[in-house]
Amino acid sequence: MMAVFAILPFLVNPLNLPREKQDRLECERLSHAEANARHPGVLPPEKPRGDYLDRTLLLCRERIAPPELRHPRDESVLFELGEQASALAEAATSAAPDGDHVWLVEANYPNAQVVPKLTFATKVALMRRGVTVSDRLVALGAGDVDVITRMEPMQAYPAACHRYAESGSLREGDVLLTLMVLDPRETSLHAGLCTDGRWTWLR
Amino acid sequence: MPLALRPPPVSRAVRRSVLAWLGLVVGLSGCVVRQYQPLSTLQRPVIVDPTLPNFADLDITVHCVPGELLTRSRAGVLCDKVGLLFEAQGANVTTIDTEGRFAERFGDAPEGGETDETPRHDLILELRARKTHSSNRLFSWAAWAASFSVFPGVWESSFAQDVVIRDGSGFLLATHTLEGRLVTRYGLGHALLVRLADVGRARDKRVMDSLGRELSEDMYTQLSQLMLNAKLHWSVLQAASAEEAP
Repeated sequence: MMAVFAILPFLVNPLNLPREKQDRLECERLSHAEANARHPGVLPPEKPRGDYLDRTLLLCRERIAPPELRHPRDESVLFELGEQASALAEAATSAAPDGDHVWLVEANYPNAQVVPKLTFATKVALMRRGVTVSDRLVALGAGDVDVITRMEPMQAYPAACHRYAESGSLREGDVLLTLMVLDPRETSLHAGLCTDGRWTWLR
Repeated sequence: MPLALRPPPVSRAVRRSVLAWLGLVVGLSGCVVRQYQPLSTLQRPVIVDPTLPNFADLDITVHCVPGELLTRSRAGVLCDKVGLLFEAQGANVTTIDTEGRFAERFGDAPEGGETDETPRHDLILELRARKTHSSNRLFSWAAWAASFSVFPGVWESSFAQDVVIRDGSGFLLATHTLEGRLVTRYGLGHALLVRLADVGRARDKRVMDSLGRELSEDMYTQLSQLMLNAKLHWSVLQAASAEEAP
C-alpha cells in the first residue's frame, strides 16, 4: 500500500519518466493567454473575477526519431529546421539586390540524406516570402571542383560563385543561396548568397 | 525562604507533541528527493567536447545578470563556474556579475554614434535566470500530513535560463532559452523507495543525487555548444568584413 501511495506522483505526471525517455520530449510551458491562442479550448476560460489557480499548459512534443538514431548534428539541425530556414530566407531576401530573381538553393552538408531536407525547407521558406524558386541545380566542371575543393572554405565559396557565373551555370538574374557547415563540431548552419558572380556571407 | 521562579507547567501531552514534531522534522531532513527534468533545449544533442581546447586564445566575457532567480551571490557563483568551463577550453575569461556595468559600456551607447573605443572582448555571454512557473500541490501536502509522510508532498518549479551571445562590439550573434523543471518530493515513503531503487546503482546513476549532476552537465554542454556556434558565426562575419574592407 505504501509503495502505491509513494509512487503515485510518478504515475500522475507524464514527465516523470526515466531520463532517456525525457530526452525524447521537447516541452514548453504556455501561459493561459498563450495556451488559449495556440490551443483553444484545452484550458478552461479564466473567471471574470479572477481564479484561485494559476493555470498553465505544459505542451510536450515527442521527437520523430529516437535521440540515438541520427547523428547529433543532424538531430539538432533538423529539430529547428523550420525556424532556421525562415531566418535564412529572411536574411537572404533582405540581402539580395532589388529586382525579379530566380532563386536557387544548394546545401553542402556532411550527410547526403539530410541535404534534400535542408534545400526543400529553405525553398519553402523562400516561396513563403513571395519569391520565384527554381529546382535547377548549379554545377562546376571537374577541373573547377578539383581546384576549389583544395581551398579553405572562406575562399572556396566565393571562388565557386565566380565560376558558376563564368561557366553560365548561374544565369543572369539568378540568385543562389548556399547552406553549409564549416566546422564538424557545430550544430547550426552558415549561409551565403551568390549573385552575378559576387559572393556575400549571410551568417 | 525566597520564592523560586518556576516555569509554567507544561502538560505532558504538549511536550510529547512538540518532541514528536521535532523528531519528525529531524527525521525527514534526509527525505527530500529533488529531481531535474529538461523541458526545452537543455536535452538537445551536442557535438562539442568540453574537454578540448575549443576556444583557444579567445577573449570571452561572462556576464551573469542578477535578477529574479539569480541573487548577486548566486550570479557570482554561476559566473565563476561558467568562466572555469571556458577557461578549461582555452579561453581568456573575464566575468562580470554586478548589475549595470555591462549596460554602461554597450547599452547606453549613443544611437548611430561610433565610439573610438576598441572592443576588448571577442565574445560576450550574458546569462539571466527567471522562474516561469511554480506549483505547491496542496493536495499532496494534505496527504503528506494525513499519512504521516507516507505520501510525498510535492513542490515543483520551472526555470528558464536566457542566453545571449554578442561580439565585442555588441552585435547580437545568438539568443537561446534553456528551460528545465525542478521537482521536490518530501516524504519518508518516497525517499525510502528511491533509496532502495538506488541500491546497487553506480554513483552517477543514482536518482537521489541527480539534480546537481544532471543539471550542470546539461547546462554546461549546451553553453559550450552555443558558444562554439556563435564563435564560428563570428569568425565568418569577421572574415567576410575583412574581405569587403578596401
